[in-house]
Amino acid sequence: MLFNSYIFIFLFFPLALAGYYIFNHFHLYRAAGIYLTGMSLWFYGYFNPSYLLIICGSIAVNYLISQIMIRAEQEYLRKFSLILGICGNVAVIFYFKYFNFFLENVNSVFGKSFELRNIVLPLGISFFTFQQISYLVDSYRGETKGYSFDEYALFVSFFPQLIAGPIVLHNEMIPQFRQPEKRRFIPENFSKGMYIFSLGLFKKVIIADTFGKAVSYGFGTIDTLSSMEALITSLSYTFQLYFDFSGYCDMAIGIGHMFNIELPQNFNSPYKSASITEFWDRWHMSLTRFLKTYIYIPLGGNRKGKIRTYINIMVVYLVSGIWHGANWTFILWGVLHGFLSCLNRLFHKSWEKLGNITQWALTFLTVNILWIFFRADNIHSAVAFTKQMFTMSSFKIHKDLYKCFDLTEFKFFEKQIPFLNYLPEKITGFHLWLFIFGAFFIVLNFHNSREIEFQPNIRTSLTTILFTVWSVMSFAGISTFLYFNF
Amino acid sequence: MEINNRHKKDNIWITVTLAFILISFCLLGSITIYIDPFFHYHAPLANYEYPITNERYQNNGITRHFEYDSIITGTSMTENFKTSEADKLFNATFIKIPYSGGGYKEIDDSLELAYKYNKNIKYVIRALDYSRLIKDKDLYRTDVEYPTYLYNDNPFDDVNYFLNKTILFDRTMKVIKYTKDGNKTTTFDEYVNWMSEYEFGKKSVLASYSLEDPQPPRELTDEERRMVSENIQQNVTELISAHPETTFYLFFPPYSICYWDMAKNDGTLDSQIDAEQMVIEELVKYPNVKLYSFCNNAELVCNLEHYRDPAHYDEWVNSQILQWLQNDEYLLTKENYTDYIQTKREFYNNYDYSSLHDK
Repeated sequence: MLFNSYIFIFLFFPLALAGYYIFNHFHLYRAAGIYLTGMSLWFYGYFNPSYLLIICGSIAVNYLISQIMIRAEQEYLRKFSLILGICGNVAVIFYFKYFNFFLENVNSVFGKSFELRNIVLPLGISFFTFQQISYLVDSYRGETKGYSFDEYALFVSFFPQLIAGPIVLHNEMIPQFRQPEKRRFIPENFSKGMYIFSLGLFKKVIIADTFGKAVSYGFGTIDTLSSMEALITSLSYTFQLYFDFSGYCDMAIGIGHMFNIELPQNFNSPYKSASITEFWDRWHMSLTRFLKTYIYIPLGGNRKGKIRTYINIMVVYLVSGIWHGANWTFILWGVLHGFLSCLNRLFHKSWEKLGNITQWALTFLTVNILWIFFRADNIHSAVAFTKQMFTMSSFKIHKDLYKCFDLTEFKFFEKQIPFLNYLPEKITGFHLWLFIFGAFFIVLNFHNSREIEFQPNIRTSLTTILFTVWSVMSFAGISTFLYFNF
Repeated sequence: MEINNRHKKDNIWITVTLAFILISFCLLGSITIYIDPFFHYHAPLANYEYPITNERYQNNGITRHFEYDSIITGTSMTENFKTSEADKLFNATFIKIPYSGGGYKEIDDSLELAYKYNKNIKYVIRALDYSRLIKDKDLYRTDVEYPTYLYNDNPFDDVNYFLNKTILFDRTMKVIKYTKDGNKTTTFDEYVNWMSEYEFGKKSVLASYSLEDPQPPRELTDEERRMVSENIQQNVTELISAHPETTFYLFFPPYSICYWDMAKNDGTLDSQIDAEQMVIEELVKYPNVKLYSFCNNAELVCNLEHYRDPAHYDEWVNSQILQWLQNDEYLLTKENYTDYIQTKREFYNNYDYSSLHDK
């Protein structure tokens, strides 16, 4: 199930909230937790009930392994369990996410013809696997004693963060569920949650999905793109990715608030960054935290000399690249980010001498170009796309690209209210520029959801109403049955 | 005290905000429910005029709520039919519900729903396209998402319809504007008629196709026989058997000679005729079926002035077809179909296709 769906908004979410607070009202805290776990499993299995086997199996096995580690006294048994657990999780994710990619490469390198399997990637597997690996490591370290199975199952499956993060840690979730004062309805949290949820919904549905149309158009016609179109497409993707992912996380954080659960911040205005290193401190922060805690530091971090530090950085970025998807494009994207991070570290002093604006511009441009590799189907298309962008061949913009930004409601109100039509009539592609410059303005000037000082006033109420209604009305569209023969 | 105040303020904020969100949904949703541009809840309102343009979104509503006792359906081969002509010829009240590019299954599904909504159906005029015959029995178009919420009776998924800004602004509001501008509800003569959108004649037809390397002629494979048989059984004859009270006027659309030029070239001419023969042999068994083919009318199929591409004919041909159906001309029967097949094989196998491409 997705947050931006009718069933979630009108059925699932009200039921989840009502049931949870009813159980809690009667002090049935454990039942409330189990209810929420059950609802989370419904949320997860909605598209494909067979996924439930994977997540339930994964939760049960990981809990079992953690129990062995907690109870066993012999160090070798604990260590063996840890290694077994980590390998098991990695094997599951490898099979579902990377097995076909692996076979394809074996086939092309060794000239074999192993048949690819029909594997459907279970939603959010990358998230809940990482979450459980962190739990296993912490159990090995003796930091997780005393969680019951249903507490653990709720921690892994809690639906707001289940399919797109943030990647939460047990010690920031389970203690919150244990606090009785968090089990009652707290209006301050609920109102703030509604507000943040509506902002996230708007970011995802109205902003990101509109940019998404331009991105599909641009990446679907790479060969004929003009330089200007390529630039607009790449910017659109840069914005789509941010508004989509951070919008989704805002919705998760908002829902969390409505349950009185604080989820960790995942984005801290990343496009304000003045270096690649800073970008990674601000982008998908819960992933960066995971990689730092469970890979970079165990590898020695920066404590084992310069060369090892650089190697460790490269390893972390390589893992990040692989984690993002089974394609050489992601691996290259990760490696390039790693390489630039190393350069940033190496030439730290020279970088600092550049002015703020230059630093920001170079960082934004780099991130923007690297996203092309992240989005393209293969490295060849990514290179072709980048070439189109920099050949400066033509600055024409096709009307279909403009059209991606002509939202139905814009056109309707512009027709009804002549005053609104003044600029769109004077400026070709007004809506496209409105989105691009608007998005720039938002990412550079606005506070992120964590910095919001929420006040229950008319302004926040109107914003919540407008954003929620506008977004929900945009969930479904009309499919165009283009004429084709017969 | 301060905490209590804040509690109160937030409670009011939550109540007011939620209430206004709900009120907005009710208001916006009720506009579409009331006007109902896709006729999901009711027939066109008397005081509004409706543009009818969208088959997959409006045909279902037409079958649900319009008054009719007869149906014209099929692919784009039926889009230029005029129900006013059919009404006169058959003394009936027709609706037209074509599905451009639709497979047999889609057309059959919509007919089955029509029977659910309307118990008195006298005539069904339906085109059986050669191009969709040797296909999987469950073929649907896969390039788009169907508005299935309109086809079922589940009231809950209608939310896709009435809380949908594209429908609200592009369709519902358009009905209001369309009425204000003095337009009239689209008639079934006009509905999805594409005559004015294309050029007809030899030049257009020849420009719309090209031939690959010629392939040797081949017969229908066992796999293809199975597909044809299943396709016809599931999507044509089951419905016919279930409704003996209806007369089914079924016809093979008269594609132009150029369609068969392509078939000959890719080696499927004979196999397509084999498939057609299977269909005929099956359909002539039913007393409530009248099956027609106009393919042996050389004067028609070789006159490219009536075509815009190898298959699509102009509205004159549609009018002609209605007359032929009514007069039982080109009717296939148990007695005459073997002659028909033989003539067809000979004609299309021996036609001098190269003459089509002479400059």
